[in-house]
Amino acid sequence: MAKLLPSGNDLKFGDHFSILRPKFFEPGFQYLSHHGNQMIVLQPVKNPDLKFRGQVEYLAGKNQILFFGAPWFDDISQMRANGFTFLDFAFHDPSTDFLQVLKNQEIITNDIKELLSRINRQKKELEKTTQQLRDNQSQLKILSRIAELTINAVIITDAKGYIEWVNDSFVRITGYTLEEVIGKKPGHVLQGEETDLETSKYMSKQISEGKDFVCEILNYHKNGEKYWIKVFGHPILDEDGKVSRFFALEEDITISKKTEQALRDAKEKADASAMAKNIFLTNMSHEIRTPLNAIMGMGQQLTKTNLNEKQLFYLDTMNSAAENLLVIINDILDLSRIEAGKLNLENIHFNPRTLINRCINVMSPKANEKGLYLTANIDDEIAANLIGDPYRLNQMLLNLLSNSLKFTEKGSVSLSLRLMSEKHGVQSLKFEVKDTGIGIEEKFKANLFNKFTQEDESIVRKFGGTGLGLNITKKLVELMGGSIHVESKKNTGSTFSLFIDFPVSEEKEQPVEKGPTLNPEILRGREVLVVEDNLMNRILARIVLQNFGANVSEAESGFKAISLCSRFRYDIIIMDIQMPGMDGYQTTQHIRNGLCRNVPIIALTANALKGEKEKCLAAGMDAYASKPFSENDLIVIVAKLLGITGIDVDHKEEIKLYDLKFLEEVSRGDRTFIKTMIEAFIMVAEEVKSEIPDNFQQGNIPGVEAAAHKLKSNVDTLQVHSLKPLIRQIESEARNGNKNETLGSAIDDFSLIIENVLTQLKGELLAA
Amino acid sequence: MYGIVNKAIEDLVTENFGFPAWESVKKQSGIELDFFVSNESYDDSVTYKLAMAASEVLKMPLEQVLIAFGEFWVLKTGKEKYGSLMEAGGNNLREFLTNLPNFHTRVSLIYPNLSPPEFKVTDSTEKSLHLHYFSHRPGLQEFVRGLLQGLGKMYNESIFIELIASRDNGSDHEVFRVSW
Repeated sequence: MAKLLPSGNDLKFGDHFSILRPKFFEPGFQYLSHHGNQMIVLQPVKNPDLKFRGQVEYLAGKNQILFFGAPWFDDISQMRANGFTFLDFAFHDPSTDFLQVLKNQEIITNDIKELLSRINRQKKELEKTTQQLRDNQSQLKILSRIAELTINAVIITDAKGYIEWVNDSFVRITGYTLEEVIGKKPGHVLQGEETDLETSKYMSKQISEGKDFVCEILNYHKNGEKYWIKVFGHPILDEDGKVSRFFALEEDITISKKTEQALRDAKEKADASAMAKNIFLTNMSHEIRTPLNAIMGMGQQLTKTNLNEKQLFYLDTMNSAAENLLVIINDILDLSRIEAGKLNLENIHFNPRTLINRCINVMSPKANEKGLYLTANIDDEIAANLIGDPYRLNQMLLNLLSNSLKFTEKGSVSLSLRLMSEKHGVQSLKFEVKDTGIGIEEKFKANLFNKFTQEDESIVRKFGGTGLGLNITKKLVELMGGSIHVESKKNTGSTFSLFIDFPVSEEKEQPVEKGPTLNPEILRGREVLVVEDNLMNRILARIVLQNFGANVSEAESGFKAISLCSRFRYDIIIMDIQMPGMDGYQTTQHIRNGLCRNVPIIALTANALKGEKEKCLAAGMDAYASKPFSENDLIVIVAKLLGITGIDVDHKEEIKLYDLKFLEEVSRGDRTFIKTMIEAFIMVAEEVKSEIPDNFQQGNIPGVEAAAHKLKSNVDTLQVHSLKPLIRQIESEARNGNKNETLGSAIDDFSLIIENVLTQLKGELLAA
Repeated sequence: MYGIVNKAIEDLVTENFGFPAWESVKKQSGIELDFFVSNESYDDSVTYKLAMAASEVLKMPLEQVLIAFGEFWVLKTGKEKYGSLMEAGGNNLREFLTNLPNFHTRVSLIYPNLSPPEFKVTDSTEKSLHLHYFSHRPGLQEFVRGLLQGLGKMYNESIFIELIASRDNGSDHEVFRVSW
């Protein structure tokens, strides 16, 4: 109380307190002393916020009034503001409890307010939800109507897949009514023995996992008829994300399934027919290439013999016709390989400049013949080496160039190579073949790249060709990931462009491989067995092999070959693959199983299709040569298998011991004439080479002179510089009868040199 | 237990972890009451279930939940709802703790349906005392520890609390040695 009230004697009550209640009278001692039963509320004058509640007691003996009371706080804040805690109050004083109750009442009032605001909020949410429900219901009505009316079957199942509802289209498609299927699983009702079990399992799995699915499945109508449906299954989730139902839409796809099957059958038939065509072309190529091989080989051998002009003309025509035929066959084979997807492109380093120059070299004679300018132009930026298929690129460029030369009568044909762009080590190139030829009709351009297409019949008559070249070129360039374009104007000229990307090779330029010049004695004394059913081919192979010194035996069948092998020893066998009766593969196996386990066998086949080589090697053969073979190729393969080293006479630039310039001049480059002259020299030299030393040994010095004289003019004609002074020295020494050391030493030198001259000249003949 | 206690758990979870977390706690506890009336007496199991569910949902040990809840009760619920009533418990921590036995006796008289715990203060010094906690409710000593920590913070005292006797250790009540 001391915290609140003044203390002391003789203080005037009225100076410190006023009476708040009762208000209706003037307070005074008199009144208070008579109202001990009245509740009094006092207010300190200095602290009008504070109240004291209590009562007075009159002490008559002392004539004093005692006030019994306690401070009264409206709330705890007020109590705290006056510096009170609960500890300041007597335990019997309930005023703090009262304050606490008041506080709790305030809290409860707040509770009620909060509750009311929650109720209000919930009411609003409820109204919103009700509206949404109403909207959903109307949407549901529309959707149900759609489900009822759609031509697709609609099924609604429970979460486990048991049918709850189906629409009318379900009834129409399946033949089952809602009553018949309700409570059943669709699969149990609709699936049958031809239904794919895997698809059925897949659907069940998706349903059990509550996942979407789309699949096609064969179902059965109530009457047993089969039909195909496409099923769109969709789970319907409840608020907690759990599957409450499944919804399935089933579209009848029986008709499209049937169409699909028909298409598949048609494609199978087409594939089979393409395969048959492929096999036919392979067989055809064999049938044509085998005799062609013989024709070309024989022609080649025939040109080595002495022929008169007329015969030479006939032979040239025949050879050129055969070569043309080979080109056509190769075109057809290429096409069938590309179409069968069996053409594999090389991915090797090549020098684009060398490739372009070679193309120009190959085509130059034709251009010269027609009096056309043939030029090439290559951008400097183009890499020295690229990676790709130079052989097929060469083929495409030669095709375009030969077309241009064919269809150009005057003016020029140019080949240019341009760099279009370069990115990440890949150069985008444009190969352009431009001519001033007859050009192409606008309407024909669309068909230009189709096979067997030429502008009109007159073109075929006038220029020949198969009409396959551009088609092959287009297919090849597309195989390389590139494209071909043409610009042309009738009577002005055409420009064909190939656009191809090539990776740049980091490797340095590859040395140009030179075909070996073969030593004509390379197979001397070797025993070779040629197994070939075709007589002409057999003879050809024999002649080629014999020319290199081989001893050749022949077998016209597999049986004969096996029989020969059991009796004789061969160093090597050349085996045709396609023979009647026992073919090359079987024959090889017999030979390998018999005595000749280790004899090298070379397969010879006209089957140029991919995989043939692997097949031959798998059958136990050691190497493979494709017909028609080139003489060099065959001999190189044979020599390699026999382990013969030094196949080529000399790979280095040979110092020629003679000079054919004079002969070339007088004959104006007539190779046949030059060849005849060389052969004549060889004939005489072979004689003289032994006559001179023999006569010298026998002391027949005039014989030495005569022999030297015989060769002298020939030495001059062929400009055999190394022999020119020597042969003259021998002649003059012999004429003077000088059988001395000088003559002997000159003859020794002669013998050595003439041997080398003969070897070189023989090589010249082979290379011709 | 007094409704305001359960309400405080609700506020603690909602304020610190969001309303969905409180929904999860309520769902986990299996309590289907949407509103706690502050003065209403609720079965003690409600409070226990809520505390355990909060522990599971918030991935906190139950003891941690009770301590956090005790602190929260003093610093947030007490201050916001009771205002100066809390401070009226004493001018300092020592006074407040000393008044605790009387305060709870008063509460038991005002609300005869509640059975508030009883406290006793012994070994009182200037900077420490032993607070004896008698309750028929098991397992709430960590809640008391949280309340004491909260009071320490309310009176800006760094407080040290040590449980020196417990019903778990054979005593018939808990004794906290509180020093500051």
